[in-house]
Formats: sequence, C-alpha cells, structure tokens
Amino acid sequence: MTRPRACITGLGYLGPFGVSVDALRHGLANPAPAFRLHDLPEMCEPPRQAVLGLAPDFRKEAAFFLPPAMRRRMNRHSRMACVAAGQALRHAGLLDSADPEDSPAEGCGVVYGTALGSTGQCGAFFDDFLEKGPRFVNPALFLETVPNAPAGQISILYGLAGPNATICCQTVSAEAAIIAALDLLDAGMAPAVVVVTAEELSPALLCGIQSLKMLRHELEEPGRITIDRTIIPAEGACAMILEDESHARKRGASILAHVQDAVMHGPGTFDATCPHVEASMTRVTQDILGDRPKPDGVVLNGGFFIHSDPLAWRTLSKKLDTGTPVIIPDYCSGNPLGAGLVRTIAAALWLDGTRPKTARLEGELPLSFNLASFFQHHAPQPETILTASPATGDGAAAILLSKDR
Amino acid sequence: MLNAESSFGPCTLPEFAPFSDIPVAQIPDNCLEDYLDSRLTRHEVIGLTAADEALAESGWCEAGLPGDDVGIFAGVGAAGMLEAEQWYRRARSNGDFTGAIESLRGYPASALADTIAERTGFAAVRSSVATACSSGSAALGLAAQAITTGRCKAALVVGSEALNVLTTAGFASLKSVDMEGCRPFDLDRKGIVLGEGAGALFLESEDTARDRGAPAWGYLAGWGWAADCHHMSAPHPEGLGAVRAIRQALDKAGLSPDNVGYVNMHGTGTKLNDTAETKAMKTVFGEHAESMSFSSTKSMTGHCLGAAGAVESVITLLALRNGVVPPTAGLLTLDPDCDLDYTPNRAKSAPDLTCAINNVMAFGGNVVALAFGKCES
Repeated sequence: MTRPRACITGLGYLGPFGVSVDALRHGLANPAPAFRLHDLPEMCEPPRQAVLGLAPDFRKEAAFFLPPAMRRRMNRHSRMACVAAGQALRHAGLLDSADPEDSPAEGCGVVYGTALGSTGQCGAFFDDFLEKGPRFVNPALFLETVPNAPAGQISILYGLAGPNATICCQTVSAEAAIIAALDLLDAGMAPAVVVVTAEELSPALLCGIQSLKMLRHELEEPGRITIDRTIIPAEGACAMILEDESHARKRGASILAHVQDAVMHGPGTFDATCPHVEASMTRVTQDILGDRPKPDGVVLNGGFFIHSDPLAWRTLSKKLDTGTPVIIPDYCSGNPLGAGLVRTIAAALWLDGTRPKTARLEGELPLSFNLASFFQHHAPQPETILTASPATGDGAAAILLSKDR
Repeated sequence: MLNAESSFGPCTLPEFAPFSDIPVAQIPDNCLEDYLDSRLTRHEVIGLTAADEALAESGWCEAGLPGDDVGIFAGVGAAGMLEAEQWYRRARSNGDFTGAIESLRGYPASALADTIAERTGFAAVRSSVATACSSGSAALGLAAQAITTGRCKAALVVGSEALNVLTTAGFASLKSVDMEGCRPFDLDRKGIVLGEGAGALFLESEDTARDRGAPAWGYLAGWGWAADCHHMSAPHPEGLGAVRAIRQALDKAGLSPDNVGYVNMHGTGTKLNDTAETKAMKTVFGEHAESMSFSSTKSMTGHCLGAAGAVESVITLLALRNGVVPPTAGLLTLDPDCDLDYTPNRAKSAPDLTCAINNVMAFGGNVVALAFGKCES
C-alpha cells in the first residue's frame, strides 16, 4: 500500500490526567493513579460506589472554546469533544486566521470515534419520556442523542466543511477513526482531519456497566493495579490533527510525528468474554511491521481485564525485542473505552521528546503490581512507536508512528 | 415501488402502544422469521437478512474469497436501542436490573458488524459508521476507499435500522412526522415517516469480481462527503454541503453534471430539507436539471435513518440496471419552491440512464453523495 505521508500536527486532551496535553505529558512522566473511588448515581443497582477515572471540571476551557449560547445547548459529551478538538486545532495553528472566510481549517474533515456515543443524552431523553409521557418530551434533548452529535458540533463550531464521520468500534474506535482519517486523506477528500474520540461516564452508562457486573467497588492500596474480571472505566476526550505532510509543510506547521501505517481486523469470531487476543494481536503486529524494523517503544491498551491484558502483553513479548519499553497510560487513568486516542497521543508526545516512565516488555504481565515499580524506567528517545489494542470481543488494531526527521 | 405503493401504518410492536396514531414503515414479521434468534436485536436481524441476500446475489456461495480478504462496513443509526430501552425502562421504573447482558449486548453501534463477522468469518478491516441518516452511504464510501488502499479486496456493506421508541418520540417531539404519510416535495407535506429496513451491498474491485466470475449490479464511480457547518438538525438553506458533496463525487468519478440522469434525493418530506436539497440540485446541475429525473423513495420506504443510504443505494443501482426511475409517492400538489421533475406517483422508463446519484443529508449537517454507473455487461 502506498499513501501520501500523514503526519500529526496538533494534539488535545481532556481526561483523568487533567485538561491539557501538558497534564497528560506530566501524567506519563510521573505515573500515578488518576482514578478514584466515586459514588455511583442513585439509579444504579447497589453497591453504589465504583473505581472510575473521571474528567476534571473543564468549564474554563469550555468557556474559552465555546460561545455561551452553544455551550448551554450542548451536552457534556459534546462539550468534551469540542474542547479537545479546539485544543488540537489551536495547537496545529488551524484556528489562527482572523478571517473565517479564509480559515486554513475550512476544508478539514472530522472523524469522531466513540464506543457508546451519547449515552448521557439518550438516558436523559428517555428519563424525560418516562417522567412526562411520550407526548411531552423535550425536543431539545433529542437532537444530541445521535452518536454523531459531537462530530456535527465540531464542524459547526470550527467551520470544518470536509467529511464528517463518526466511527464506533468499541475499544478500538480510536484506531478505526485513524484508519478512516488516513483513507480520507488518501482519497484527497481533505487536507487535514481532526480525529477526536470521547466517552462520557454518564449515569445511564454507569447503570448499564454496573448491571453487567463489570465495575470495581473497592480501591486497593495506593498505586496497586490488579488484573481481574472487572474494568476501571475512564471518561474524557482526545483529539489530534492528522494532516497530509505536504499540506503541513506548505503552511509551516510543526510536525510532532508521522503515521506510518494503521491496521485493524479480527479473526472473524466474536466472544466478549473470551476474545481471541493472541491470534488477533499476532496478526496485526505482523501486518503492520512486515519487513520494517521492530519499534523502539510500545503504547498498549490497558483493559484491567484478565482475558485481554496478559494475552496482549504475552503476544507482543514474543513478537518484539525483549525489554522493549512500553507505556500503558490506562493503568494510571482508567480505560478510556472508545476514547483510546490517548494511546496515539501518548506515542506522539513520546516521539516529540516527552520522557515517560516505562515498563519493559518481557515474559508475562504480572496480575498484580505496583505502578511505581512497574513503570520505573527511562527509555532512550525512540524513533518509532507501535500502539496496539485488542478489540472488545475479538480483533485488534495497531498504529505505527515515527519521529519527524 | 414501481406502482408507488407505500405501506405506512401503525407500528404493531408492543412498545409502540403510545404511538398508535403515528404511521411508520414497519417490516412485516414474516419477513424476519428466518432469524428468530432471541440473542439478536431486531436491528441485527434486519441487517443479517439483507446481508444474506447480498451475499447470495454476489455469487458468494459459488465463488467466494478468503475471509481474511473481506472487510465489513456497517452503517447504523440507533442500533440496538429497542432492546436497550426496554431494559432501561424496567430498571428505571421497577428497579429490575436483570437481563442486562442480553438486552445491552446489541446496544453499541458496532454490534451489527461484529455479528456479521461472527456469522461470515470476514476478518479484514471492520468499521461501524454512525453518522445518523448518512451512515449507510458513508459506510459504502469508506468501504470503497478501503478497497482502493488495499485494506481488503472486498467489503460487505450493510446499513440497518430498526424502529425504536426513543427515535419515534424524538421526531414526534420535533413535530417532524407527517401523520398523513410521507409526501416529499408536496405543498402540503409535513415531515417524515419513520421506517425500518436494511440495504446490503457486496463491494469489490472490478478485477476481483471478474476473477471470480461475479455478477456486477453496477459500479461506484465516485463519492463525496461534506459538512454544512450550519445547524445540528436543519440543512443549510442553499444546500451547501450537498453541493460540495455531489461536486466531489462527480469530480472523483471523472463525470460532468451532464452525465447524470437521475438523483435519488434525500427528500425527507420536511419543508426545510426538500427546498434546500432542490436548491442544491439546481446549483450543481444548472439547466441540465430540467432534463433530469429526481425522486424520493422515502415516500414509500419511510425514512430508514442509518439504513437510508444503503437502502437508497440499492434502489439507485436497480434504477440503473433496469432502466427505470422509481417514483415519488404521494406527490399531488407540487411546492413552487420544489420545481424539478420528481417522478410523481409513477415509475418511468429510462433506458438510456447510465449514471445516477444517491444523495443523503444527515443530522449534524453531514452530506454524502454517491455516483453510480451502469455495468454494460
């Protein structure tokens, strides 16, 4: 496959680490748990506490990027996505034009990834329905129940008239969004694409996960991570500008990293409780690396889930060099569900000079460990990084990034 | 469809009792009885039914491809909302949280693609597109690009939508439902009629199709995708997104507007959509629009939301293959602001039709246009 070189020129982050890319950078360099034991909404079945990675208050950032009227109308999920997208556009220098008619962002596309979409808005609308009856629901609540509401809001807010996609592929929604964005760049349908992912731990979503018996109800000793049959979910939004390299160079943009390739597929089966992680991870790793040199570093998804994490770790341990530095941001923030763009953003920051504390890829992943002892190494500055994640149920996805030379 | 028949009526699903006066286009139960698998949601059952038919039509059983070479692209709207809202209602009203796994399994928009993968073994790139009313068309465009870039040799594209309470209550609250049936471009039109359905298309490169001796129904000549940047639920009054998307599709196809003989319009039957989309057609096609045929088949299928793009792509391909333009049903008094030939109430013969466009316009202001060509052999 040949394609125009795609590069990353801007980043945005809002999540358990904080409300900026700098907060994420700090979190990678100083690994510590950003998830806490929180009360669950009253609508959930007991026990009504769970370990969650929640996003901090971001009203100040929302006020910066969103006009008051738009901010009032928009739900929290969309606001998170708009803030992260605004950060990335600003970082890339695509919001700098004083003349909206001559905005460098005008032809840009949006590809938004989410596993579950606007669960908060769907829950609020359905609660209104149950409370008031079918004829008296508030129509204003309906508009943002559609999964693509954040993508639409981003295009309206920032005047992005290119393709406007929403991709939902569970835990690999981010990678699927990147693949769609790369394909749109390849097709010449946009010179740059804002790739955004967001997930909100809304009352309705927490109610559902709780009833699926997947939440953790006790926080272990500080900094201890255990892999078992439950997850620590997190919320937040991440964004990056994926741009045709020639377009970026022409406008003098700073290039943070290059996307060499992205692959995603599965073995054609689906089993949510026992996914075929080793087969999927083996195949994506083989496909993306091919004859290329092995990567200098890895960013891996952390699902906290015994049927996923140890198998993904073992597969990469076999396929890559022993001792390859690896970071798993989710073990500090909680698992971002469909907002996994944080993996690619962490890789871009690492390539751009951030020095995260890393673990070393070898043998088996311990099923219980302390963050400080697990992430204790400083790796040499990498030239290439592989980000990888098993998909919910089956399949896997991987992105290969390289440093700008 | 050739006789402009529509099947709008009250929904017989028990959850729809509060909406007994609202017409919908519901799939008859007997059409879905091959899939009485209680594990699946209604939207998956509908999607699988269409997927099976598409695979059979593609000659898959006789000469398929290795599963590793085939991708899956699903276009979805509310996905498994019908089953999820039943669970949510029980949980909220009665504190009954049981059955979460069964009821919520199909809620994610990715459920249909995963289920199809499980059934078919298709293991190349898999994507679920959820761009509201344009999902099916966007999935088809992304699948075409995935084949072009070599991510897969072929792709099964399925758009599927099932009726559900949340969406029905939402459109009712917006006063967007026409209680007398969907009448696009009619002076007295009052809105949409919600429909359910699925369209499935097996897409492959010309070489792959030729190598396996597959019958070709038509080809996707080009596609375009653009945003209005205007409003979450109202189209740009001049249809700017549609203008950009159709021009992009024609450009990619290497076609001029004069090559196009028919457009399957989004044509929802709302005041705003139909006038804005008509303006877009006149902007793109200029004087040539006067000699073209247009129609909105939602006047017969209802608005299938996430499935609309796929359903209408199938209809557009049939129009090309059979040389027949499908009609707009229920069009009795033309709105003066909608002054194109919308093929009112009767299909018409179009033996010279070689290129047709399917245009869809979605919530969030995103528009996808697909340019289809006729296969001569």
